Amino acid sequence: MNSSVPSVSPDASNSSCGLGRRAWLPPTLWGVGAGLTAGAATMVFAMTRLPLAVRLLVAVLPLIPSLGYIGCIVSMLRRVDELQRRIQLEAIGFAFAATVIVVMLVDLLQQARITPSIHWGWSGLWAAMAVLWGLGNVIASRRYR
Amino acid sequence: MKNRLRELRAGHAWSQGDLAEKLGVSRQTVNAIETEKYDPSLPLALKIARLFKQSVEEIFSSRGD
Repeated sequence: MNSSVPSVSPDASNSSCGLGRRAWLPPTLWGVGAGLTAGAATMVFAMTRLPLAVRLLVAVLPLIPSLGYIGCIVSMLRRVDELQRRIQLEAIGFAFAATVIVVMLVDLLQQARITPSIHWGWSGLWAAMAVLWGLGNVIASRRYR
Repeated sequence: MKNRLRELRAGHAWSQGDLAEKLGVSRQTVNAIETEKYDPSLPLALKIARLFKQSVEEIFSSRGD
């Protein structure tokens, strides 16, 4: 997500990460949009029986805001400065590995009947990765204070 | 690496934010370089040297030097 693009001058209103205060708004909106459309699709499938073509359309509809989210994240990561790019790389690496471990651990605990069997689905996985990305950010940022 | 960034910045009476703005990086980056927690990339080191009108070697040195 971080490429060798020259850093852009940070917004004078917030230089904590090289981006303006509102830089996180577009990806947040796209992310919320993806969550809402995916949630709505889940509810629609549970409540109604639809023709195949309509089911396919509803199932892939969340892809639109999801692609917008990805585009915003990539664009933002290309605009931050080199240190923030390094921090995000470390945070994303941590989140990826930690998510795999968490999912594996939860599944094993469920198989061992130590915890109740819960179907995670996309929402649980997304939430776990988002939280772990945030935690990774905190851990990586502290190294450079 | 060791560096004289804080000393040079103080010589111009610039805050970390001022220096960050001139270099096109975040204040966090300037702080991390000054506290020697982060070594800048070559383009950034050259930009710093150009800003203070000194060579990279005059500003940055390895810890063993």
